[in-house]
Amino acid sequence: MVTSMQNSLVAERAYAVVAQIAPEELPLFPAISTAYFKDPRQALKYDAEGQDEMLGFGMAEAVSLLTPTVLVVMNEVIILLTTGVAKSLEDEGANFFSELAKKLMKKFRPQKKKEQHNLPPLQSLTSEQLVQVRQQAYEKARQLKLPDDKAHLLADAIAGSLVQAGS
Amino acid sequence: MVNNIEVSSRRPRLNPFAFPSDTDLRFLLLIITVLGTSLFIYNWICLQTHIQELLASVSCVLRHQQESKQAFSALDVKALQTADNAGRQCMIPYDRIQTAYMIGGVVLVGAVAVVIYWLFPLWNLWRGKLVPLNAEDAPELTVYLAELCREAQLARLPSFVCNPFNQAITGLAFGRIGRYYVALSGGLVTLFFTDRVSFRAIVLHELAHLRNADVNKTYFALASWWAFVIVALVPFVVISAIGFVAAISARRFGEDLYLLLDEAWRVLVMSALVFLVLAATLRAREFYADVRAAIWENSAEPLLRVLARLETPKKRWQRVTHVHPDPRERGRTLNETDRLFRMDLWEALGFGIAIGIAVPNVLSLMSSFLDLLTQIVFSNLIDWQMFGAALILAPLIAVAAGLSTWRTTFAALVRGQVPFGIGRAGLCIGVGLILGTFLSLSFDSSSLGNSLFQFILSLPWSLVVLVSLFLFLRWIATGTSAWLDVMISSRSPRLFYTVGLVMVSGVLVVALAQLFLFRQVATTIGGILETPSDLLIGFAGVAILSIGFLIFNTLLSPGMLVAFVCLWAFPLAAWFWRKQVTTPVEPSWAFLDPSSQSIILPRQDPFRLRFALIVGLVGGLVFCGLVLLIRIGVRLSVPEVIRGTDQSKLLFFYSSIVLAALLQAGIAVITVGWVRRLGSLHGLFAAFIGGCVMTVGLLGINLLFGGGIDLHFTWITFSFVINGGVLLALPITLIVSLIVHQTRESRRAGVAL
Repeated sequence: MVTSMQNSLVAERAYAVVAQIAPEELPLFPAISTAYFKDPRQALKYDAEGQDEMLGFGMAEAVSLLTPTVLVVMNEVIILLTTGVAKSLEDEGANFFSELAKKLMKKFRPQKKKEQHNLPPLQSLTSEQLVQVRQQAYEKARQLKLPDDKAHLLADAIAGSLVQAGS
Repeated sequence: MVNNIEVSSRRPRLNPFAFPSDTDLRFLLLIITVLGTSLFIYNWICLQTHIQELLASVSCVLRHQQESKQAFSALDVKALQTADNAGRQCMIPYDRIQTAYMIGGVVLVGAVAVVIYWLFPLWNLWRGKLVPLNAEDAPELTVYLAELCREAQLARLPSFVCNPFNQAITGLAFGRIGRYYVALSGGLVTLFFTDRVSFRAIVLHELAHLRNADVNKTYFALASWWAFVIVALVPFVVISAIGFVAAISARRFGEDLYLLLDEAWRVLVMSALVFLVLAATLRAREFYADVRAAIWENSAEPLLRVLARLETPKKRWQRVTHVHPDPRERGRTLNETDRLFRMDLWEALGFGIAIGIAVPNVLSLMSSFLDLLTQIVFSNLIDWQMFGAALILAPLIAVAAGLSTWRTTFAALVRGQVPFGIGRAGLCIGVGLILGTFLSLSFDSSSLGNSLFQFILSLPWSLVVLVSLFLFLRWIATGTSAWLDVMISSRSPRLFYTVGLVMVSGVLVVALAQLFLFRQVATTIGGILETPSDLLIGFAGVAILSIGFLIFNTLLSPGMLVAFVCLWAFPLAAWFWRKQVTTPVEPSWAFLDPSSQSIILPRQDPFRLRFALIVGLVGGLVFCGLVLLIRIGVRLSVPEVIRGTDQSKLLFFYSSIVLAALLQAGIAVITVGWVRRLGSLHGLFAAFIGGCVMTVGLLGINLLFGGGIDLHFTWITFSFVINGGVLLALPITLIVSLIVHQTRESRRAGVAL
């Protein structure tokens, strides 16, 4: 149940990030995210290069799809938030994750789409914590061999999406 | 990688869809190559696994051959027939096995190919991890794709599937009859948002494959290759390996090992050929899909942009092994579709080799099969064998070579040029035929004996093949040029080339059966020879027997008669439609681009059929007059006792036939000298008319002098006069036509100076 909720959260936030930094990949998002949550390792195998069809027609170059990377990084960030950040927030008496998750789950239900844009602001994530999340996202993106500029863009978008989710 | 592809088109482009495409022809070539090679392999497997049965049959035949020789020496026809029939009975057990293996093998390859073809879409879906493109996930994209399908006017809409993880920018049309798919990679889907023009060009190209109906051919071609590998090549390798190990372990390093290696290199070459033909088939379809997509776009520009970003083959040899053509060549073809009308000499050579591989195996199969049909008299077996093999192979040559010739000639003439390379293509097919026959000759039943002698003795056969195919293709080109005016005035060329190809096939069946017979004579005599000094005798034997067979088979053959008539009737029949072509026209089917002006075909001299008819009639009447005079002279000078004998009657009859043939040759020569356009064909027509008059004259004069007449005698006289006449007139006409042409050319050159 927790995993399912976590996956939903990852998918929701990743969708927002993809919409921001690679909107052309949105039609692929549902299929990629479904496959990713089914078998994350298998899904990432395609990441390195394009699979060229012997009889297919197209261009010599391949695009680099960001969606799988976004999903992986977002997953990492959410895990970080549920473990490290949440722990650090315990002292302040706020359950960051459960609050955030509840809000996001509401957003994820299509019937309640209107609520998405009227969520109450998230006040628990400090700017230091956001920096920490951004750094973690950046490092993971680089680890997945994303070019530096794209890794920065992705990290910014992820941090921004968390702020948006909380605001 | 960006290729520098020119974007220009100066003159209206020819419509490559007006004629059957290279994809069709190469697909046909692939099927022939696969079947020919499979026949070869299964014939060999049969030999390897049933050698004891073959040895038993051969020893039985040898026993009866002794009886045959004795009966021949004693001139005992009945005993000879009995011995021959007994010998034939000896081969039946092995023939049965061989026929079953060869037919079974080919059927097995075909059946496995069908199964693979049927399963290919499932394999593609599984291997490509393709999932249906969901309208909910990509509403804008699915609407756009549906719009493209409408533009493509597809009879049946494909299912769009996608591999979202595939980062390559690629599309693929695949499927089977009634179920087609277009696969889009994840990279291609993103192109929909980032570069709509390129996305559209790629998808339209894939839809063009569906519209051109080449998806089935493509996947059946691939399935045929895999079926060939699985049920022919792998068993061959396994059985060879077993044989190899057995030979090594039994220390039999001589004959057995040699035979295995001999077969292995042949099969290796044949398999390489099958693969190359497969690659050529897959390459050919791309050109047509490009052209179709550019038609829908009303511009080649978007496709050229995509082509400019394709990888080019790095090495020269990759051009023949790649399944995609060189993008630069594709770009050039988009601008200049005339390239799709040219006759490729390598293709002609490959086609010749494919047919050549099939020839000995089909002959062998026919021989085994006909042996089982005891209703066929022993003496007729060889004729049936040759005719059967020709009936199978001739239409294939006629369709492939004939269609290429039609297209090439059409394109050249419409552009106001002389068709180029037709004769050379014929020579290439001939060379291929000789090479292919040599390649699959190793254990042909007639090739027992010294293979070097057989090779030397088959050289005259090779020469005849080369000359025949050279002339044959030139004749098809002549027919096309004769029909061009009429074809251009019509709504579609289909009827013309279909009727033309039927005639061409008919002529080729007759010619090919004769060529096979010549080859059989050469290989049989080559098998008997023992010492190099025998070669000279062998040559003489081959020459005499071949000429003898030619004359004997020709004179009374209805097939030859029809073929001879087709030679001139097919091109000259265009005369009857001459009124249809008086005004210049703009056929919608000939060009892709709307042309501002009508086609102005090169000015050609008119047909002179009336003149040829008159020359033929006059020649015929001269013959009748001469025969009448001779008959009167003989009646007055030779006593009744002598002229009433059968020998005298036969002598008179054959002399009349010789005279008729000579006069027909004369008629043809006069006509050739006089008529500028298609002189040799007018000559043959005149000779035919003359021959008909001569036949009537001979029969009438015979009646006049108290002779009888019946249907059989009428047929014999008619076929002897006509076939004998053409047999003599044909080579003379060709030579005279060449001389006349050279003389006219040199005279024209003199005037120009």
